Amino acid sequence: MRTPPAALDVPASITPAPPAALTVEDLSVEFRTPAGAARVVDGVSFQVAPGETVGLVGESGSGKTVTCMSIPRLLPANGRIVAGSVRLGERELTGLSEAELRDIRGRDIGVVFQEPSASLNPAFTIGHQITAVIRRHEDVSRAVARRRAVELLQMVGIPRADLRVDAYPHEFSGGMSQRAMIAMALACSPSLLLADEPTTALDVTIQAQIIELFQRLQAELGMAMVFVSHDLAVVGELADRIHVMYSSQVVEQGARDAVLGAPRHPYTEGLLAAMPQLVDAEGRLNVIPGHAAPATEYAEGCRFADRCRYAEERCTAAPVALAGQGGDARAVRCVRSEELELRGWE
Amino acid sequence: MIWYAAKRVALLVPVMFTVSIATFGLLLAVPGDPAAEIAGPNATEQQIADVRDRLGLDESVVHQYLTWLGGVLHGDFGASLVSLRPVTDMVVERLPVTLSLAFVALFIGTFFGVILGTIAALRRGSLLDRALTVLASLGIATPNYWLGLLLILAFSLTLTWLPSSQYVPLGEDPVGWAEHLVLPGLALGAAFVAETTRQVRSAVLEVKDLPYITTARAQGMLPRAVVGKYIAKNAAVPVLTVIGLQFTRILGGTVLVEQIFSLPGIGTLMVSAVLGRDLPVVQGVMFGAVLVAVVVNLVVDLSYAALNPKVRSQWS
Amino acid sequence: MELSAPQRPRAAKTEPGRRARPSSRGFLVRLREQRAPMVALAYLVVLVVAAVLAGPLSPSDPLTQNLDNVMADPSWAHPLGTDQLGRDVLSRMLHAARLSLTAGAIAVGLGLAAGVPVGLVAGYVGGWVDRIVMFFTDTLMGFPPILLAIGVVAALGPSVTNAMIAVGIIFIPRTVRVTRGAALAIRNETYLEASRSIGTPTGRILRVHVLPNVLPPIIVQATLMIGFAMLAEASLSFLGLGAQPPEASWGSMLASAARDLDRQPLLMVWPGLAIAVTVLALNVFGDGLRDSFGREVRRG
Repeated sequence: MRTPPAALDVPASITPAPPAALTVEDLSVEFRTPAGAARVVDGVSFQVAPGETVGLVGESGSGKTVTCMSIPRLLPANGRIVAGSVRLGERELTGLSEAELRDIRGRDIGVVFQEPSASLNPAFTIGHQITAVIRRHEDVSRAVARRRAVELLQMVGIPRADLRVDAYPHEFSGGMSQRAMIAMALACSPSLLLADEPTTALDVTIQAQIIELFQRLQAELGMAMVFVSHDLAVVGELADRIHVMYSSQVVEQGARDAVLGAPRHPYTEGLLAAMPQLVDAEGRLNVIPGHAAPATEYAEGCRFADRCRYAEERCTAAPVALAGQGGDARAVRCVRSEELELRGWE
Repeated sequence: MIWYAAKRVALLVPVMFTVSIATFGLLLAVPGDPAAEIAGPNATEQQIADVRDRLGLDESVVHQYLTWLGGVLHGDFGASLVSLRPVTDMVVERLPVTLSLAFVALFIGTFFGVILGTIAALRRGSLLDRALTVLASLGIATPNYWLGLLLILAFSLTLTWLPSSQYVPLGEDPVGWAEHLVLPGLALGAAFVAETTRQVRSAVLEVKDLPYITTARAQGMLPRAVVGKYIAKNAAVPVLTVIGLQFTRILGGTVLVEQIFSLPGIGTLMVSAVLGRDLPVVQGVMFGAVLVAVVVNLVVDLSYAALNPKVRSQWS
Repeated sequence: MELSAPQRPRAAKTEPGRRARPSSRGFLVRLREQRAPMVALAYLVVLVVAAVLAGPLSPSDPLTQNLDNVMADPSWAHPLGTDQLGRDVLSRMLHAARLSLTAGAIAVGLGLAAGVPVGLVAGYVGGWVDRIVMFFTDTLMGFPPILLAIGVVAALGPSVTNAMIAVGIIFIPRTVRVTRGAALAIRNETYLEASRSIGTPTGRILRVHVLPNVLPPIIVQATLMIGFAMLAEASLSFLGLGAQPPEASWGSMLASAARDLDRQPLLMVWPGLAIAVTVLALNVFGDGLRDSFGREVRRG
């Protein structure tokens, strides 16, 4: 049997992939401190496609939040992007002026912060704050903007949105405030949503609801999402790919199932083991001993070595590079990774 | 909101009642025989008897108080012991002067205080901020009458740009009115500028790094909106409280500044009344001044509640 | 609640009532490290010494008149010149310093003596006692301070003593507020509960336990209040209601200087400058004290 020539078969290498919603390449951020320049983000790279969620996981001080906040360049006065590139679609963000960035923020990039009660302005109604964002970026009348605001509140699952739109933040519960924040972040249908620990300040039950909300919204709206958290379990529910960060560097990255099921870095294994559901035989929590060094005192070699139970001489000898391992952007920063058998989740 | 306002207004009654007792009580504080003290060391028997009669000192204290209070509720504060004119008339004719002065000082203070305080907060740690802070401390420590004298020396005597005394009614000659009030207004307002600058700076500092301001930045809000609307509305609250407090001090300050600049206001009335032991006038002015101060503070509190919805819910 | 181990450390907020007893060594070190308050303190010490030694330090008798040499410019014999009656200004300034400082201190002392006990009881006992006290305190604070002082002097008669009483009265509400606030904050501390549970009488609790712990904010307030007390006394004397001639207070010196502003402007510079600088020094030092007490003192 002859198969007709597949004239429409084009080799994959020639078809360009659709541009990622967000491309972060080799990003490095430094803070000016009295103790010197602290490099809190060191050579971080990742991509997020539309509809995809990338999770940045790590403990406090790992640089995950700063990485996220550097995307719209919401850094404190003493912080600077010193290297690397951040591209939203085709557009390079790092060289833009503050005025140009202001147009992008809120319109093309939405941000959801950690503590909704503190992140909403207490002196204005929710409706006012949402319409303010809309009218900042789009030329619509107050009435139109208000209708959009009500729709947005409904979309995020706030009951009686038509009444709630005129309520003040202090009249909202924690979960509702977070929903309102999400509505605000999505007001102008951004292509990228950044979520910085959005569930950390919430009760467990509310957390689950908010996670569900994110899933639904992403399915409906198709925006790319970067989700930052120290909580692996939460990230595990939402992310398609996970980047584990430690002391300003990515130490492991890959598809969600791969990273959680078969971790290749001792730190990831430690994080997975430390989750309270996984107590050991005697009922003890597995805590990773010690703590990370401050950014001005990072070690030369592997920065996790002093807390790692698998550490050897060669770990601290020289800086460890992030090495790819197999397809799907899998990579690990560990010299012993190949030889170690690490326990994963499930 | 209406309920809240009504409750606060109702509170005025016990307050002013207490004030009336305190004001009236001044009479009781006079050592020895009030009539003799007031009439002075050179008074004749007849004059002392006159004073006693006019003040109704023969009646019981309670009776005296009730008579006085009765008069007050009708707007009658008795008559001056010196000029025999009704106190109310004397106060009313001098009121525009003092109010003009207070208003000018308040305006200068608020205007410059808010601007300087905001600048200092937004440029925290800079040379400008430190200079402003030092100036503010100096402003609070300087006696306003001394500042007035310095201003007179500089701008009236040496530079002859501005007049150093007298008052011109607004209706007659607006320019003259302003000219005569610039120096006194500055003298009176300086301490106010200083205190307002401090408070505004501290209020803005507290708010400007709060999470919800970061949210506004993350939404791409323009800086002038961030400062003008978001920071302002939240920082306004402590600032308003300060303005209310300061108003009370400004009222007191008019006494001294009017002396220096020979302005025919209530301040100078009060001083001559005190020096002349003219108690009815003293009582009348004090009661009136406190009433004005209390009302102003009430207005400030109400606008506080209007700006900050949380306060209202606490009260209802 | 959390699903993973390392918890993000939250910034410690100042919680009311959560205060350690001030460690004196830490406090003094912190105080010494601040330059401005130390400079202010140095000035104040010099001033107090000068005031105390006003007699020996004065080149001439402050009361001696010399009508041949009125309103002279500064010279070797009279470093600050002479006034309208030929009296040496420097000598008068020194004696006035003594009067002004004393008046300010005594006025504040009166305010504390009356205000602290009331504030302690109000803050500690709470309830309707507190509400009544606060009602009167707030009402009193509604009076423009200078007017209140003037009113009191009007009743009592013009003199330095009466001025001090009047100014003292002005400070009572402020003191009550501060003391009450501090007492309120520690009212429910466990060591007080312990003391109550073994039946210690309230008076003793207030004296022995509460008072020492509310001292830091009171001390700070007192320092700041002396400055305003001096301003107030100067104002009263300026109006002729405080120091009576021939006594000299900085305020009354300013008043007479004002009369001849066009003939000898220098005369009004010295007393005004003295008041401004001294009050500034007191404020700066008071602020330094407050910052050194650190967490133990609530703002205001």
